[in-house]
Amino acid sequence: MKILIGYDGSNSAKDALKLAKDRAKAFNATVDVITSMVGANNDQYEDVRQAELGLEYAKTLLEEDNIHCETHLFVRGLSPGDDLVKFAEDNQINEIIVGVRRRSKVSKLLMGSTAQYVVLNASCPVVTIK
Amino acid sequence: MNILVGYDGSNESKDALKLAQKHAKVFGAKIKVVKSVTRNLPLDYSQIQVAEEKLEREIRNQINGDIPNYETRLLVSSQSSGENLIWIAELSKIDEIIIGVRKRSIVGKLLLGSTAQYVILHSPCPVITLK
Repeated sequence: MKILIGYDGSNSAKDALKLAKDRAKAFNATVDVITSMVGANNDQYEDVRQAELGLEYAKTLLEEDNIHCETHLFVRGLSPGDDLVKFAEDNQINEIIVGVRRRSKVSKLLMGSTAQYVVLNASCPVVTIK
Repeated sequence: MNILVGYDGSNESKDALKLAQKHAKVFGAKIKVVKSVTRNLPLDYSQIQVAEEKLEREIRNQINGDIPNYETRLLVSSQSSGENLIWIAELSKIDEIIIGVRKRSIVGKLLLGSTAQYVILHSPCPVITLK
């Protein structure tokens, strides 16, 4: 079984990572971790470095428990939602895990666009955690 | 571990039940299948009983002896299905909610069902959606 997780370094993404770890152990699964940057001109070197560090952290955390893990940093002009859904299709992923953020009082009513896009377009079950 | 399945008889919810069975085997979990219907006044108990039995029969047929540990529950309430699911999840210490998501129309493709959205945003535990 293959689990895919969208990781952006936020707290909910960290929770998603912990969940991925538990589920990977239970299902004896491999985990792919994706960080997606759109790749606009204003992306600074610092941001890319930050994303790489985040992915390294994710890999270390998962490999502590001997879970086979691959990390991917996508900067190819696709939105994070698109990147996740495409990767899941291309690699026969069985489950996508994404964190859902509730930033403010107003956004409590609205779901993040990435989570919503993934839930509606993914070819496999999607696990959301907040 | 406890898994909650939101069931409304649609094909998506049947798939959700199948996924729950798979997960129940892996985690050794107990499944709770909940169907929520809006309460009409006056309450007609004989009708509710019929609906309860129908739900039980439907779920029994679908699970087909595959897993022993499950229960069904029909909720008749004036709250929305989303609120009911969250209420049950908190009450019965659920560890995972599985629900189906419908895309009804071209317009609906852009909008997530209100129940799914409510559950995802208010759930105390991870939520699995499938379509």
